Amino acid sequence: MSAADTFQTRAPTRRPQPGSTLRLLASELRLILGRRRNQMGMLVLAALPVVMAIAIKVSNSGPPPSSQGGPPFLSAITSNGLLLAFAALAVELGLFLPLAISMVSADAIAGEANQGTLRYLLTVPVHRTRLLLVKAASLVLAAMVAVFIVAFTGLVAGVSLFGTGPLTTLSGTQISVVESIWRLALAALYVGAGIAAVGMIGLFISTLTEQPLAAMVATMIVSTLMFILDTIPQLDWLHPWLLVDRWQAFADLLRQPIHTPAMAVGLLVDGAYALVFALLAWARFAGKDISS
Amino acid sequence: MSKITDRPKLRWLAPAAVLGMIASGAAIAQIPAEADSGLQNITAEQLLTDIANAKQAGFSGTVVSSTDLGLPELPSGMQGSGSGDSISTVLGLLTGDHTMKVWVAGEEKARVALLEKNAETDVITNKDQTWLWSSSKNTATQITVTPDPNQPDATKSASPTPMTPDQAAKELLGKLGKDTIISVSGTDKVAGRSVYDLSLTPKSSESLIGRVEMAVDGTTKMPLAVQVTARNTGKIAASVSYTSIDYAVPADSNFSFTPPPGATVKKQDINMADARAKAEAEKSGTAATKPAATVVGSGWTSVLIADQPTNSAAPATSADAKQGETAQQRADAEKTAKAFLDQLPKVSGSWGSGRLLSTNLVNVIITDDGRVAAGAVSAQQVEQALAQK
Repeated sequence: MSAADTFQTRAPTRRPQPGSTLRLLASELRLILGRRRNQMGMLVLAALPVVMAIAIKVSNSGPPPSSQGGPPFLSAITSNGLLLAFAALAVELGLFLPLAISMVSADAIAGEANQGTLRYLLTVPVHRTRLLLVKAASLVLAAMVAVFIVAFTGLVAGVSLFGTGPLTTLSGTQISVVESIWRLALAALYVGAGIAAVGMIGLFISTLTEQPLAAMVATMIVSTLMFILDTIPQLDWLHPWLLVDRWQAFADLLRQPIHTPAMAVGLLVDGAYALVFALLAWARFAGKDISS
Repeated sequence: MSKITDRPKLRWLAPAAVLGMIASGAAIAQIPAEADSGLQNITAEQLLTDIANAKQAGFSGTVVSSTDLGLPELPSGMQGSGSGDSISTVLGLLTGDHTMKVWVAGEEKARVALLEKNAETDVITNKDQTWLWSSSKNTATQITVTPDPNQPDATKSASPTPMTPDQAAKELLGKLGKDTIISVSGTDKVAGRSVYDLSLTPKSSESLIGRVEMAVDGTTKMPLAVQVTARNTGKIAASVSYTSIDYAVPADSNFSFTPPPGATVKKQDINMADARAKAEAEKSGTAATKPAATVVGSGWTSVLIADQPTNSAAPATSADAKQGETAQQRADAEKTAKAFLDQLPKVSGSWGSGRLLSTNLVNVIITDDGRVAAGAVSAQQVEQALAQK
């Protein structure tokens, strides 16, 4: 009989009080947002759009003639600062956002185990499944917080340095500032869904080890590997199955009318990855021996 | 509950089951549904007539085209320099997959949007006004076509975009003759609509085209997909297909275009009457001038021989462009074109010598003395056609 089973037979079976799960979630979020390293991470996420804005402003001798190779919309940012937020999302999507969620998700189980706090957490009269659900929900919220930090600082930095006005869509028509900010929010939600799916991969890896550093590196390897595979043309049969393949499709929000099919498939892929890895994490965590 | 706590290993069944469901769900979605189409049998002639008579008040949809011509790899320099010159743009359209959105209302309003990565090219036609918008170049070109009173149909062939399935089908049908086996091979589903499969097979075995298949909407009789199968590989070499279609007339807002502030606005006037008069003057002016294009052979095996457009004609069409820029761009374009031609195999015969561009569907010979011969036949037959002329 494993330690987990001993624990579970002893766990109280009364129904949890209403709101207790929410309180647990709130405390988990406070913990995530209160960690010094996570605050530094958020600062880095926020710094990049500002650095991009200043770099473009300083080298205003003229944007590159075509945005090939560089981040998208770069040439149009000088005419409308709103686009900086979209460009910042596209740039941070490749490394910084997956890195941030890898860090947070590694802490979820492995970090607690490493610090020796997982034992105490499990003495709270809360079922393991419920605890894992709270961890998963907090990771989704953390992903959204990270993405909205990028979008918001991008918006503020872009608008304050380059001004704003009606936004020219890729289709050549114009949409109002309010409409553009609404579309930026949709883009952030779409990107956030992909980052949250990486968070679920991280949550599963986090249940496999007691070393948060190992969990973080492994999650980062998975996401980077998918980015690399996505650029190899010989593997094009594999591309639709990769989590990251349609992440850049949020640019379709800048068409008039919005082109939805690619993003719809993207969300399905995000959801499928998230569900499978969350269930894997549950299968592993519910029966895991907690030794430290 | 008790079973799961007693045997923790059973928990792993949950993610496995979900993974299996997702995989099979995705696999089923890719297999075309074998459901009964509910369409009645129809003869090929009847279907052809219906297609010719079909008239939509308006529609909108998404078109996906894919081409696998077995073209040689493009020189790396041409892929990199990207959006700039026209040669790589055209070659880009000939290879790979492309997504277009199409809106049509009546005969006078149409919009085609070519969706590119982080960019878009739009052609918007509203009555006698046409706008060409390129988001990557931030350029809006206003094309005003003054129709030739003697040739009212001339404006319709002036579209600079790839053809939609219905245009492609109608053009193909116009070329049909005694040399084609036409049959309705069954029913299918395209873009969620029940369609008839119309199969066109060339009788001549000399054509590189093995078969052309067209999916025709069973209710509206609008062609929704065209596939061309190459004879030598037996694979689909080119296909254009709607992935979604809506027969509601699109709103007028889709067809109005105002150049956004900050965009470069160009103007281009095409006067069809002038253009025809000019062409006729050139033809009759010097007796030595060769006709612009001739066709050798007929039907599926015909070979088109044309004079290569000379470079002196180029600036006339882009009058508003800055002169220095144009010269530079033209020099670059010529350079890339030459680099591309130099990679092609050399061919020569009694007709002279040139370079051969060989694909699964067409063979093109660009001769050193500036002629272009193209046909859906073997390279030898293109050479024979050149020799005959």
